[in-house]
Amino acid sequence: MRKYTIVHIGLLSQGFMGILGGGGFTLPVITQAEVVEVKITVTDSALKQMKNTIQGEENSHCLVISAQSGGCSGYLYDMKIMEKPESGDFQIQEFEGVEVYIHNNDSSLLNGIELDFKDTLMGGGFNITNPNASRACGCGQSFG
Amino acid sequence: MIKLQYKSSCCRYYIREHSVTVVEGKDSVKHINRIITSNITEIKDLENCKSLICDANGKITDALEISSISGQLLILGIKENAEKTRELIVSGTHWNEDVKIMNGDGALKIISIFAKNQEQVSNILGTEISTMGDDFWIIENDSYILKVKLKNDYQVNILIQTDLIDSFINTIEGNGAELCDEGTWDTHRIENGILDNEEYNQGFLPGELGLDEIVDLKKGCYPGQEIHARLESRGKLSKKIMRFRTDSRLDVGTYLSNTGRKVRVTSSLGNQGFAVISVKENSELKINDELLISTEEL
Repeated sequence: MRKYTIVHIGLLSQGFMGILGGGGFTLPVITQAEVVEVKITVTDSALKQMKNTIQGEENSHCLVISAQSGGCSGYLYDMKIMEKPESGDFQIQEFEGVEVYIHNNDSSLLNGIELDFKDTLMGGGFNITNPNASRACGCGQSFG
Repeated sequence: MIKLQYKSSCCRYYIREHSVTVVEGKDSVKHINRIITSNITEIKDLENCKSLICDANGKITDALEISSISGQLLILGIKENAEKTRELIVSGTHWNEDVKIMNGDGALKIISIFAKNQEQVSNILGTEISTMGDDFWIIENDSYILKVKLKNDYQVNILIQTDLIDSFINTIEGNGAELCDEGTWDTHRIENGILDNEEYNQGFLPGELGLDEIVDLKKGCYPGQEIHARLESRGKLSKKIMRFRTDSRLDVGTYLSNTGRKVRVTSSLGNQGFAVISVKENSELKINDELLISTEEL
């Protein structure tokens, strides 16, 4: 068997670039490039439901609407009532004392959405109409 | 059986460029798993998983090899699709998840070393490949080696930093490996059923390229899942990729068979290649009323 010269690929080298680290090997980190000013609308029924859910904790809590990859159509909506994030990367809109937070990374995907609430036994709940979506899943949670 | 055209006594190597994306952070697996067709939630260190990205219509938009290396995910995709795939990965990052995405294009290359004989490949590398599994990278002398399971031949893929490639090539050429041209590589991949950009970038469904095994319908939603699930439950796949051969020349393109069905040749060496044809066609069919081609499963 012939001799095989050691070739150092350096994939396991330590440092902040684990896979490709070592030997001065660095890679550019990719971040979301496009940030737009977000403007959303909230229907009366959605606002009423938001107020019911937050129930007097408007000063400390907010609604965060975000998008993430996945779902049948490419992206999934995510909505959470949570303590107001301290990060300055959010755009905030206030609706009668209830604040809605949207992260800058989601701004281009969520700008222009209308938040509605349907109070029905079947298919009820919050519903988002998104002008940026070319398609949506039947369940209403995914868009693309 | 289609005969190989390259010298069987040679051990060849071919340098392949991929899109390279590195994803790190504690939520990286969860994030990527939402996008792809297979389930990588249990991926182990040094494991290599094949997967696909599909659009909402279920059609393939990228073919990936995902490896977990020291807590990071190394994602190799089709070079031409790099921008689109990375845009999808980046734009779908949840604000509250720990995910960092890095662009490694051009930083890494894959050298494929292949031969008809397993011992030849071992000799070129100076390490025994017969005991290697085909799902995990082996670290050998600081190199990353992955054995590729093929139908006829033996192949290993070496993952290497681009700026170290010359030194590596000097070594393997010193051990007898010969650089092969694109034609020889195509012969090798057609003989062994290795799909490439020519197949992945034509808007086919996974099942049409025989890639059902990297589609997990039980993992939950991913783009295209609805279409894949419907096809699976109704069993209505209408066409499938086949290896063809013919006595005359048949170039890449779309043809009509004598039954009036489309024959899409995706890769061709002239008288052999890959074609996507109707599942209703027989193993022998005519094109333009004269050219007889025979087909076989990959």
